Amino acid sequence: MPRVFHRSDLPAGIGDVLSLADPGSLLEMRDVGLTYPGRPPLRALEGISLSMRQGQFVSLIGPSGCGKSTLLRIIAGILEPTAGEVVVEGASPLEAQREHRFGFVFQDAVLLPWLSVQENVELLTELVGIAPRERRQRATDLLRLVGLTGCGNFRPDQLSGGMRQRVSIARALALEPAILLMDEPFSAVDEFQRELLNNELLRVWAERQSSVLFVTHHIEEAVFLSDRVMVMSPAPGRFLEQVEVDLPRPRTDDMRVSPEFLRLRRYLREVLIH
Amino acid sequence: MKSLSTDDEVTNAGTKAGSSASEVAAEAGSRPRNKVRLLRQLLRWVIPALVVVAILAIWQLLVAVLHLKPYFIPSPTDIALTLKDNFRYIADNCMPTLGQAGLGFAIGNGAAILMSVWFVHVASARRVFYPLAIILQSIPLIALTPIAIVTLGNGLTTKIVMVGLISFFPTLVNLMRGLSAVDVNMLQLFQSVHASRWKVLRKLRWPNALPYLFAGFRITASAALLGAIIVEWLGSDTGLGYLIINSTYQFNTPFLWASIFVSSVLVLIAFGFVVLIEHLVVPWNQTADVGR
Repeated sequence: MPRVFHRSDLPAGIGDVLSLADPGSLLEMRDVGLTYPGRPPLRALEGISLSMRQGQFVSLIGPSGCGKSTLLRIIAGILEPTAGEVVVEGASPLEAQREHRFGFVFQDAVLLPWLSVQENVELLTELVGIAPRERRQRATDLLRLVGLTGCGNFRPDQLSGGMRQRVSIARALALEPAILLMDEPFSAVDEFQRELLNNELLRVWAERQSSVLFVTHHIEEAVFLSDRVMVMSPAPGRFLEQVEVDLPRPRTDDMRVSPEFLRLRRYLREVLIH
Repeated sequence: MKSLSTDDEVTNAGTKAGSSASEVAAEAGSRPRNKVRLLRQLLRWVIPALVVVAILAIWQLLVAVLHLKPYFIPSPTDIALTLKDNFRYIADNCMPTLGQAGLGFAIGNGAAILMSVWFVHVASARRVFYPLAIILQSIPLIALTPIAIVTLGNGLTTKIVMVGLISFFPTLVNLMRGLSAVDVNMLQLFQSVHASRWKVLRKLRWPNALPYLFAGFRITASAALLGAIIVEWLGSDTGLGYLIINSTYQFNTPFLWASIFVSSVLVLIAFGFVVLIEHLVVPWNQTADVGR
């Protein structure tokens, strides 16, 4: 049984070092920044420090253009930061990428139109060379998990926007990633669908015991889903505030009108709007 | 129950959520709508056909009323009779033209495919050669035929080189666009699992480029045939191009018209063939077709 350290138990500085060896640690970012060269240089992100443990659901919230999406891409090893350090399960983002530790969900479903729904869910497992029978089984299970049993033979353009986004979540889970990186996944669906998909996502998250880093600009969504909400400033993106959400799990729809929920929502609103 | 509501969501894609009542309504409404569509489809074919018949009738009438000589403007029946009497001869002369067009088409398009894959992956090659290709494309290729005949001789090589060149550029330009115009998010999705460039090409760029490739094929299928015919004008003793030039010299105008008619039918068939293959190979992208 490994001893679990809590960063708050330790003097400042030592916690940062130890967290690298902390077996429960999923993601560590220290003083990460990204500046695009130019005249003047464009500072996208500055002094981002974040630590996330396995099984957590963390949201990043902030105004458009604050670098939330950029931050996700830095973690996934798609973009390289110009300052600071990112550690994913003790490895660099690029190493973690090579080990297929990331599941990425985009704002749009980004399904390949020439593949069926089933083939889309199988795409990533096929790319990394998982055997056909195994990947078919996984895709079938995942389609059931996201409530799309029997939809495997449809083409993506035959599905509604909400259904397409479920397919893309199933696809992201197919490689059994250590962390699910979600970039405003529900911003293109209507309010009704959004609440439905929020509930579904929490169910999937609990069932698969996954970890989610969730980017959104929707305050209520962030509070409803997360253990912790990180509030970002307009560009250059920095963390303004870190808000723990103490609502019990599993979250239910009537929590959306509970006093604690409304208090957090109002608070986040004030921080975001100043 | 779950699967039922899901099915409903499929048929009413885009709506919020379906009830079984709306499903029934959609089912009942689809029958008469199908009939209307069938009628509309029929009209789409019938009206152009009637227009063609009307034009032929007026043409026939004008030739008769104005007493036009067949060597000046032959009537449609004159042309039809000439075609019927010489069908074997004309058909035999289609073969070399089709052969050259087909071979040139294959070589030109094959080269275009290889080169665009190369250009998309090797930036330096693209920077050096792509502008050159664009400049070359602006030269009227048919005007180069005499040069090709002088340097390569008056044989099959010249014809196939010319047809190949004609088939090369439209496909190159289109395919370059198709291979490059990949959705950034799709590319990042592949990147997020560290997919190799080969996998990205095979699983993403290539299928993404297929509609563009077929756009190139549509252009080059007819261009290759027309190119083969025109190259035959400049020195050949067989082929449709030879028939056209020869009947012009001999003032055999009905025969000239018949040859031209056969040429355009071949072009139409070639084009239709490409569209048919496209339907089979690229079923997800039918938006470019009229009437869908």
